[in-house]
Amino acid sequence: MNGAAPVRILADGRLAAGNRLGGIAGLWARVAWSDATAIDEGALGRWLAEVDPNVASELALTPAPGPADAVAAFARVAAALMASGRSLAIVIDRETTPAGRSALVIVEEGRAVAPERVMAAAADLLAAAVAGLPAAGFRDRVADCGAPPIKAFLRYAYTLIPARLAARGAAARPALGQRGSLVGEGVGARLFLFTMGRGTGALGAAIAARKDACAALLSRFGLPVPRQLPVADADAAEAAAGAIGYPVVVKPADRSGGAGVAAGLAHAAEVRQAFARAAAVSRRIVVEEMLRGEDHRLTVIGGRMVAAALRVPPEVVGDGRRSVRALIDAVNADPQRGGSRSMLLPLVCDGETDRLLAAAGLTFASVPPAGMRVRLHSAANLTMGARPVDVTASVHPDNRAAAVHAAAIMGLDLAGIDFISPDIGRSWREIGGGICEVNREPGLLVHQVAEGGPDMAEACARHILAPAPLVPIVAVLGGGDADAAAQAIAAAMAESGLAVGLAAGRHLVAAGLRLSDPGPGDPLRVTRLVAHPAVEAVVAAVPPAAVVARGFGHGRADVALVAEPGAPDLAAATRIMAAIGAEVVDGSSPLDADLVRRIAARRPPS
Amino acid sequence: MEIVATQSHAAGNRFHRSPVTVVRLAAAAADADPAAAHGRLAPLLGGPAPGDPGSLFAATAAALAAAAGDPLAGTRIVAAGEVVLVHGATAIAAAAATRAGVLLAAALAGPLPAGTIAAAVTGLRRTLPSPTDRALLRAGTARGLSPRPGPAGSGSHFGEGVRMRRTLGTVGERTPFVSFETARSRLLVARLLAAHGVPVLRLSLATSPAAAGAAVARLGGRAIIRKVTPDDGGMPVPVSTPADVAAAFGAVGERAAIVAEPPPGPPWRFLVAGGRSVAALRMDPGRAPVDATAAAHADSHLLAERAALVVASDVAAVDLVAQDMGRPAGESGARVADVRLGPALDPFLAAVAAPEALADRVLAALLDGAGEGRIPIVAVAGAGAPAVAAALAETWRGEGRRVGTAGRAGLAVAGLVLFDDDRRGRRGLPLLVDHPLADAAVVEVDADDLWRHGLGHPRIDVAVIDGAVAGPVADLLAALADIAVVAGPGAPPLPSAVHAIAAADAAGAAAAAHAAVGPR
Repeated sequence: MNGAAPVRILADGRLAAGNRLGGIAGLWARVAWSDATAIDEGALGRWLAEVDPNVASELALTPAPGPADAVAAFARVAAALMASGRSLAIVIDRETTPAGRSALVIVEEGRAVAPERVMAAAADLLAAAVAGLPAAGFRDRVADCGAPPIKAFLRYAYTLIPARLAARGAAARPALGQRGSLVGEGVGARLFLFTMGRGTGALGAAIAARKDACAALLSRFGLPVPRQLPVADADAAEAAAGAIGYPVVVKPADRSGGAGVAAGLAHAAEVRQAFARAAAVSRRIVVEEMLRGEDHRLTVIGGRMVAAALRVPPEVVGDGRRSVRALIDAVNADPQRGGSRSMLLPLVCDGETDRLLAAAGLTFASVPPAGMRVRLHSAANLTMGARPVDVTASVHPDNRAAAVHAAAIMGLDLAGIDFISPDIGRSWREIGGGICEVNREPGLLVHQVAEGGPDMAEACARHILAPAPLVPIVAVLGGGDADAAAQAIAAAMAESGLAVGLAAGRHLVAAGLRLSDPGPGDPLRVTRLVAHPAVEAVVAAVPPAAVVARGFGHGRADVALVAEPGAPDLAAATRIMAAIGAEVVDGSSPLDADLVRRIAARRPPS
Repeated sequence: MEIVATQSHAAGNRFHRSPVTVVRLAAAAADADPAAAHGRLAPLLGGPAPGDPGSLFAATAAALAAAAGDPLAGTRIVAAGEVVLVHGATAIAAAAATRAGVLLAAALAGPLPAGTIAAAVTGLRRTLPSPTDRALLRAGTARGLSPRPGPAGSGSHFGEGVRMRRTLGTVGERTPFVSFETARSRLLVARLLAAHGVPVLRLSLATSPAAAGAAVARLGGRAIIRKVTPDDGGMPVPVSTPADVAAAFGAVGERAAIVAEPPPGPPWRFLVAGGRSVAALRMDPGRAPVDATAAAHADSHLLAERAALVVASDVAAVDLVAQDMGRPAGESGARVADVRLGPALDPFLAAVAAPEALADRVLAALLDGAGEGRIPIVAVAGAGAPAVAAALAETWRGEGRRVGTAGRAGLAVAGLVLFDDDRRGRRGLPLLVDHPLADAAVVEVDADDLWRHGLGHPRIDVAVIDGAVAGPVADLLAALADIAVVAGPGAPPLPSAVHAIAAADAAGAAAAAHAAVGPR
């Protein structure tokens, strides 16, 4: 971009957790800016909407920090590029010196594939919007730096649990790519992928991926599952359907998310077509008895059914005036459907919709009579626009128990049970129904969007964390003096029986194991010690200037010991440490045995 | 030697606590010569020739099972021509009987063609689970955990009810799926370890021969090229020329391959179980792995342990490379080359001096604190059985237990009725001990079915006999009970060695059983 750009980046970089924003990681940029360019909010939003509606939607929801000038717009665009459902924290320091003026912009690091590209992309997008360049040329820039390549509403779902964890004081750090996260400290550190933490065992998850094995296992224990027959070709599928009795379901045994599933098949031709569609996505196809009733999702966490939702297949209700097409458009006009922070998706029509309409004697142009329910799909998938209803309080104890038993038999601590029942308030033993699928990685949204449904993200966060002890973390602020003090504290803590992680001088050692060392002053040292699963206490000597410039390396600390009162940037560093919870202690005098005892007393429960 | 009939008995039968196969043999032909047959089977059978055909058959079946790698737990001649073969760690007895019959018939008929015995052993071995599974099942048997195969696809089961643990090879029930998924990719494992500061071989992912060539150049012109999943064996030979790189990429045969820096030497493979490095092997190419547990420096063991811990696996094989694995970390330059979750134990079992102890440590890691793996089990026989079972279940429920009940009226666990048909004995008890929510079990027993087919589980804590039951059946129940037999009205006299408790009625019998099991 040329010199007329609204902001020009002079330098930028990343900030580890434990910085001026608090316990969260951030991106910083020092920028020069020009007042010559007025920022037209409306025009910026419209232009961004052409590039990526989700980014525009996030921008509109991100408040301006202080005066709404070019710097603020730049910071907000950067935040919008990474936000995916939550407004990110922003700090801006404008300063004027004899050399000119500049601003330090710090933006909380959100979800981004390449965070290091975000600041440059934000500056270029802002300049392009002001210059009115064609939006199409900038779509790659957004994809390149920002959003992970998943559907926007799932992107939002992925932010829900980390947000709940952060609210509980346990910031999740990215690991294993975009979906994986690490949460907790030392011996309490744990990996999780979306909802799958330690309680999702490999054996249970493997069985859950095979619908045929899963049904056989549950049926062995007397749980209600539909009859199922594996089929190799369309002829076999037709024969199986005849043996089971119409209507039937045809589905792949090893796919998820409703791929290749067709339900309510009433005759041979439909079964043969359904087989062909299922065979396009898998080689393991089963024909299954169609359980009669409504589709429910019962979610089990830690041996308890914590939520139940009735999943209503996507439908519109006639009003005697509007066509099917107009009714669909009206539902989709609801701002709750779609958008960067929406949990409901628009109604989608496909070949199945055409078939269902035809079967009902309708077309998209037909005007259904008032009160007529027009089904657009047979399955109640959120991705097709389904909207569930919370029924947690009305589930019959037998149905609840069946869900709990199924999860236990599968070996899954957290499971989503798809339960078909004509009336979820009555027992399956009395009126039939049963379990048609067990999901190892249940979506949260089905309960989250159901009116009155429980906060599943909160329940999952609690489950992932429990029990996740925090380990004592001691920062020793200073130069060479800090190294000696840190070593003395670590030695005293080790003597009290703690497995200590120590960063001091040339040492980076986690409970006896020497780690690869990025070097003194690098926040990665603290990050690595805190993430190490054998560590019960962390002691790190850190230069105050490094804390200010690059961040502490973790979002929490118990004690900040000042070992060198005259160190540069000490005041700013102690402010940061205090803001992330550290008790600031004068450590210039000889080592205080009582302090070590107090720190060691914070040891995690074993 | 002709087998007229075979019958299988479930665990807890009148011959043994383990499942057995009973074989009835036809009377030997007049001209059959057991001594000659014994001689022809000499490579398989040691010792003097047995005097009778039944004993010869039993010895042949036992020798075949042992040679195949799963010795029988015992053999018995119960009548002329009637042989009981007791399962070893796996359900081998029936297959061993069939093959023994064929082999003996051939040996009685004349000289055996070369390779006949070896073929019988190999054939039998093919019917068995893997050496890893056999070693774990044996360790489970030694721990009294009544190991058994689970339903298809769900591995082996050790222990009972809430104290049961399931395993698939060396993947435990508590092995997180996240770890399992991570470990399927060398790239993910290396990234995870590197992010933790654990030293690893530098590597990258290449999706074309050209990209692989570029990656090799970045690594200084020499590199190894291997699969993304760590299911291949040792270290490939380093490549450097474009032709070699292209050939190595092609040999991987997948859309992507790992390009890693060449290791300083052949890898050492560390077995980590329950957080401890329990064995180490030198994996020199072209040679059988050698036990190097003592030769590896403590720092190398520590590195292996931490690599497994970071990936969060119960049991892992960690390949390390170093200049010298026997030196401290600062000098050895030891780095992680591979982490495999759920590794096969074969190379370790073959190399170490005490394979049983090693298998037991691995099993202990997989059991994850499940302890003795037992829940209280009470079996009730006689006309009063339903009343006693109901009273005991009620008492247990009052204590907050999640009781599993199986009887003529059906089967229920933790208050949920799962079956409403006849689930007495072997039709119900195996489901109760396999049900992960049941923390106590009471099962009604049909005396006739117990006598003819077994109980379906090798042990119970207390037997209650309330009503007329045949003496031998009462003796069998007493033999299966680890704690006591409660004898209600009508119970036959019991052997004097049995800890017997008298009860006046159903309520008294239930109370006595409850007291004998003890508090929760």
